Amino acid sequence: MFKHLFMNKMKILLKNKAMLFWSLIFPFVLGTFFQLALGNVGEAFEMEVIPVAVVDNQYYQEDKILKEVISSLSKENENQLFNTVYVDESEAQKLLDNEEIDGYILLKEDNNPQMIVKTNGINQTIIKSVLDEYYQMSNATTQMINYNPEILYNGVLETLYEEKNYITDDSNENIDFSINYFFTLIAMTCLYGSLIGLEVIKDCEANLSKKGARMCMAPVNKFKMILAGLLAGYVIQLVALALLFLYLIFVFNINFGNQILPTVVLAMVGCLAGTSLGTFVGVSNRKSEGFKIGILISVTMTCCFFSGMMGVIDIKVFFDETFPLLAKINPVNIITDGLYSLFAYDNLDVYYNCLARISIFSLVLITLSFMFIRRKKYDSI
Amino acid sequence: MEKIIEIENLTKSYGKFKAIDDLSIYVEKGKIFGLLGPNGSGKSTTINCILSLLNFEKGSIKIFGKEMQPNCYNIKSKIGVVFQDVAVFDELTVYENINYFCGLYIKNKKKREQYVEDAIKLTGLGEFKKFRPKQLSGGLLRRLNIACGIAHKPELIFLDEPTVAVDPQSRNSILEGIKELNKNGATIVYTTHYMEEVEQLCNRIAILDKGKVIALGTKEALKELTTMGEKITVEAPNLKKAIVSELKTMENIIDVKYEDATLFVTYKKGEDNLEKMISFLKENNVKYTKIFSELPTLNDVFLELTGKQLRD
Repeated sequence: MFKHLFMNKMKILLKNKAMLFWSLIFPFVLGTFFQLALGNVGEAFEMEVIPVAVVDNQYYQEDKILKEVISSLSKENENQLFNTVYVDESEAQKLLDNEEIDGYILLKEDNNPQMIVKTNGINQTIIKSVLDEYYQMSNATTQMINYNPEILYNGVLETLYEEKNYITDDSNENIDFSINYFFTLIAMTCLYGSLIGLEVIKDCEANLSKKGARMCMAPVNKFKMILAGLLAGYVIQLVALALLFLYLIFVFNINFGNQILPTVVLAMVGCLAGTSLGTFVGVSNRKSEGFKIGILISVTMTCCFFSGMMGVIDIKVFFDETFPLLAKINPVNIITDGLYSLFAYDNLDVYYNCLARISIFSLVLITLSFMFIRRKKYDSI
Repeated sequence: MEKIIEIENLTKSYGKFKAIDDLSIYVEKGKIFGLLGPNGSGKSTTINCILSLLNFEKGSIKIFGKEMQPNCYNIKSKIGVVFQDVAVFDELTVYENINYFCGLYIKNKKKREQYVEDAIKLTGLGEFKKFRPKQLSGGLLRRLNIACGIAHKPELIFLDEPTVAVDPQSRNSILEGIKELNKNGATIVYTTHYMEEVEQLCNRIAILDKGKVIALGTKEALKELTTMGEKITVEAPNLKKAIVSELKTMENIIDVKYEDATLFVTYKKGEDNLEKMISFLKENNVKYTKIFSELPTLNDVFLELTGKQLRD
């Protein structure tokens, strides 16, 4: 009997075009869209050497520190920031007018380096940042020497320029933050299992559909019927998710990290969360099917939005910081964080935390659904 | 005769509205029992209570001599239900739908295949086995709905208004199918608001109104409940008012109406009413194009008992 129920429910769900669209087609389309929109984001931000000019006048020649800084940033190596030409002011202006340089640096008698640019842009901002930092540091150094000249000899000045990093980065060396979009996509696909859960439960409860009434009249244990249906739906959702993973990995070369087993476990529990959400929404009220589908899609997309799917990652950060409790129970956020932790961290602490939270989420919804399902008779159908 | 269903003092309310009010009926084995009543009279609610789908406040329901509960699988296995609304899967073909629902009762695959074929034959869906429900007309869809409910050859079948919104051809086919099921030994509970179907099919009839049984018995016994004996209709254009008034004073007449050039005369039980009417028309030189007599129908019984038409 279980096999009969399971196989036929598989057949019914696989022929349900709306279900297939949301569980399979939509995530594929969205994944393709993400790849097209974000695939070159990393490359676009690769640093290019900025062409600049320095007005080689008396004041510049006297400012040894600035000379050293510019020279250091213009050295041909992997850290080269500027491609610098040393010219007089009129030549610098000419180069700028011809757009051969992004800006030029001019030092006058006040020793405050000025930046002359023609347009605004990333390169101009970088030049300005370098000059601002130089100005602040040189001012601080001058004031410190004036206050206590001994620092020239006791090594204090060296510590001022020393750059120490107290954080060890053991993470994945090639972190690309656009990967978060794909994590939310996976989480969204898990949550769309809710539509399958809703479809299955609707056909098993007499007060939700006439098919449900007919099924309830069959000499079959209701829980066996529901379990067979939900299992069929769950398997389909897992297959849809596996296909999405394969599509993203082999077609778009998306790197989900190397921890395959924990990823699979999280995806499985994620799908369970989706299915249980749909089951709960299905049994907990008697609104129309269209209304319930609308609720599930809205909830899923809202959860995705607050997990950083629709735009900037700042939304996720803002939501995580402003509404920490909601962020902790947002299933899309939990799955996204879990997948990110597997990708970025070298230990599984965050992953286990996420796995526990999504399991509890599923368990709570399953328990609540069970309380509705265990009814044997209805007040109205 | 063995009683397959016994209902005593059944009461069911939706909030303050009493959908079934102290209903007591029984259904005998091998018979077709009709629940006749207008929309909202409590027919479907009664069936859903019998099937243990609905809670009810008071009363007892026994099927095959046992109290019906949702987990009485041995009782459920002998029951077939055809709900008023079509309940089939759009994703499955006609054959697959029947096979799926039959499979909930019949585990043996070979036996099931035979049962499915029998159901297809009975409902005349042979040409449409591979059709999806959305490709079927309303009548064929109803037949599929019936096939899904009876494919496992149940001993007791509930048919809840199976002919609503069905074309005459499909209706005849459905009614013939029901007779066939009954001939094969099934006991049938049939709800409808079409009195013609009840008169054609049912051995015993309960007439329901506002959740109460207002009449119960065979169709002949029910018709005995009315004081009306005969209804004579005369198509007579340009009939004078004086003649209508004179008719009203005559013996054995209950009511006289003249509408749209047609005269409707309702008589009490008695003999020679038609002959007397013809004589009266002749005496008064009334020219008429058509005259005919009808015996009382269940609608007349319902009208007399409740003051309203069955289809109001």
